[in-house]
Amino acid sequence: MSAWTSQFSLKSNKLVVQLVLLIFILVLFSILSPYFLSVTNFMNVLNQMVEVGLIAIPMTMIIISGAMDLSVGSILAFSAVCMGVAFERGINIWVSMGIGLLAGVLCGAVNGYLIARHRMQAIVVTIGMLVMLRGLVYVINEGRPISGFPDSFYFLGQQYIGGVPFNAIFLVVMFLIASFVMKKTRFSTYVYGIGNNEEVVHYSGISVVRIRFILFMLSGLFSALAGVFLMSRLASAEATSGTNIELDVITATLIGGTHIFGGRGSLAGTFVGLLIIVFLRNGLNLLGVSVLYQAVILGALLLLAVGNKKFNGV
Amino acid sequence: MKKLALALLTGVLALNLAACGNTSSNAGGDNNGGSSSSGKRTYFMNPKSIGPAYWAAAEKGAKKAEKDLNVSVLFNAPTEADSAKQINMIQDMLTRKVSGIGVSPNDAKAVGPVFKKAASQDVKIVTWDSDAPETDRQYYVAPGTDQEVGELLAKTIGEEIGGKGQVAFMVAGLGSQNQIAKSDAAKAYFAANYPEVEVVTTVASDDDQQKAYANAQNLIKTYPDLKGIIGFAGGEPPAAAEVVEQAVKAGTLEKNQIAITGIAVPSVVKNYIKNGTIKTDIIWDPGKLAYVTVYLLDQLAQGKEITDGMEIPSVGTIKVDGQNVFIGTLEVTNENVDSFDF
Repeated sequence: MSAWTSQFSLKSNKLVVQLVLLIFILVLFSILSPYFLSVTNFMNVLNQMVEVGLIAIPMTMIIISGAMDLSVGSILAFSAVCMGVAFERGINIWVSMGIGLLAGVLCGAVNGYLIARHRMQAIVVTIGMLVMLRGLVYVINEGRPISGFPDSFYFLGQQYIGGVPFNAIFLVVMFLIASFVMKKTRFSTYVYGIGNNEEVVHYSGISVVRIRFILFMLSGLFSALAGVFLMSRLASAEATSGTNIELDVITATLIGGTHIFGGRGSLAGTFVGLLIIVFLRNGLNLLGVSVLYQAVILGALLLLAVGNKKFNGV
Repeated sequence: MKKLALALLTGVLALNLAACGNTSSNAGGDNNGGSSSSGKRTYFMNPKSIGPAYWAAAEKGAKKAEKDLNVSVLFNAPTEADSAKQINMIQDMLTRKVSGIGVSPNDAKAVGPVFKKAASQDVKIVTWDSDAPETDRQYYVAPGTDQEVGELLAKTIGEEIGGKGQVAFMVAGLGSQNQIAKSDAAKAYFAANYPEVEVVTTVASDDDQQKAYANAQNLIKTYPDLKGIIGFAGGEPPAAAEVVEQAVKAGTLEKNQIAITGIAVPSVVKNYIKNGTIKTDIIWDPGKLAYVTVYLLDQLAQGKEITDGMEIPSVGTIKVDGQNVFIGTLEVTNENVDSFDF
C-alpha cells in the first residue's frame, strides 16, 4: 500500500506543473488578445472540447492499463454514420442514437475480444480497426454527409443551460463519475495493477481478460457518445469526422501526466491536459497564428511533458 | 478527489477571471494588431485546408487584397480538410469579432449553424471555391458556372479538330456533381453546335494520377481514330498529354493526331503546352478567387452594394447572378503560359 501512496504524491506533484502551465497559458493569452478573456470565448472553448474530452476518459484508463486505443476516431465516425443512416431510414432520432451507441460498443467489443481474449497487440489491433472502420464508413454513407436531423436533437450539442453549454456540463459530470470510479472502486485498483504488472494481477486470481474487455467496450461507448455530440454540434454526420482525433486525445492524456507505459496517471490530470491543449489552440487561433505553427507548439509541449516525467525520475 | 477538485477550482477561477475580464479587457489588451478598436477591418479567409499548392496560391491573392484595401486578413485553416476543426476555427474568429469571413466549406451542411451565428452578429459571410447553399452566406464566389466551363471546353476542342470526329472525356469522379454538370454541358454543346462530333466514352480516375495515366493509355489503344480528349479535372489533361507524347515518340501516333484540352494548373501543363501537345488549357486563378472574396467582404462590411459588371481593381469585371459571383476563367496558351505564377 505504501507504494500506492508514494505514487499518488508523485502524481499530485505532477499536476502542480500542469496547473501552473494552464494558468500561465490563460494569463499569457489574456494579455496578448483582448478577446480571449470573455465568457463567450470560454463557453465556446468548453463547447469545442467535449468530443476530445469524452474519449479522453476511457483513453486515460486504457493507457493506465498499459494499452492504447488508436481506433477511437474511426469508431466515432462509424457510430455517427450508423446513427445517420438509421435516421434516414425513418427510425426515430433517439432510437437511432441508441443504434449509434450500440455500434460503438460493438466496435469496442471487437477490439476488446481480440486484444484481451487472443492477447493480440493493442496498437496493431486498433490500427487495423482504424483503417477498416474508416473504410466501412465510406461504404455505408457512400462518402456523402448526412444531415437534416430534427431540432430536438441539436439540444445536445448546441443548447446552453444557464449560459453553459449542455455538452460541457455532460462532460464534467462524466469526468466526476469516472474520477470517482478510478479513485474509490476495486476496478480502478485492477486497472492500475494491470498497468504495473499484469502477471501479478493475473496470479492474484483476477480476470485480466474481463478488465481489458470492459475498458475497450467503454472506449467504444465513449467514442460513440463523442460521435453523437459532434453530430449534434455540427448538424451533420460526415465520413471524415473524427479523423486524427486520437492524436488530440492521447496528447491531452500524456500532457496530463499519464505514463505511456501504464501504471500511472489520473483523470484529473487528463482534464487539466485537455484544458491546456484547447486553450492553447483557441488562444493561438485568436491571435491569428497559422495552424502550421500551432502544430509545432503543441508537439513541443508534448515533448516537454514527457521530458518532465523523465526529469522526475519516474 | 482532491486533485480533481483543484482542477475544477482552477476552471472556476478562470471563469471568474473571464467574467471580470469583460469589464477590464478594453483597458487591458491593445497589443493585438487588427482589432476593431484601431479602425482597421479584419477578415478571416478560411480555405478547406492548409498545404495544397492551390490554397497557397489563394493565400497570395488574399494577402494582396490585404495590402491593396488596407485591411487585415487572417488566412488560416486546419492542416487536414476536417469540417469539425474548420468550424471550431470559424467560431474562434467570431469571438475575435472579425468583420467578415470567407469560407470554402468542407461540408456545406455543417457550416449552417455557425453561419447563422455569424449572421446574427452581423458578420459578413461569403463562400468561395466551394459553396454552402441553404445557409446564411451572402455570396458565393466561383470562377464560372459548370455549364460555362463545360461549353468552353467543348468549343475549344470542337474548333481544334475541325468540328467532327471521336472525342473522349476524362473526369475525376463519375459521382461528383461538378464533374457531371461540366461533362453534360460539353455534351449538350457538341449536340447543338458540332453534330458530327461523337463522344465515345467517359472514363474516371477517382483523382488518382496513375489511374488517369492508365485510362489515357487505354483510350488511345481502344479508339485508334480518336481525335480529341477533354480532361475535366486538374489531373486528367497532364495524364493524357504525357501518354500522347510518349506514343508520338514511340511512333504509334502522329503528332497532333489527338487534340487535348481541359482544366489544369498552368505550372503542371507548361511543358505540354510548349511542346504543342496541348494547345489551350482552361484555368482560373485561385489567388483572384481569394482576392475577390476579400474585396466583396470589404464592400459588404462598408454597406456598399455588389452589382453585376462591377469592376474590381487588378482582377477585372465580375458577373453577378443572384447570390453567385463569377470571376471568369483564363485560357492558357503557348503565348501566355510563362506569365502565370501558379
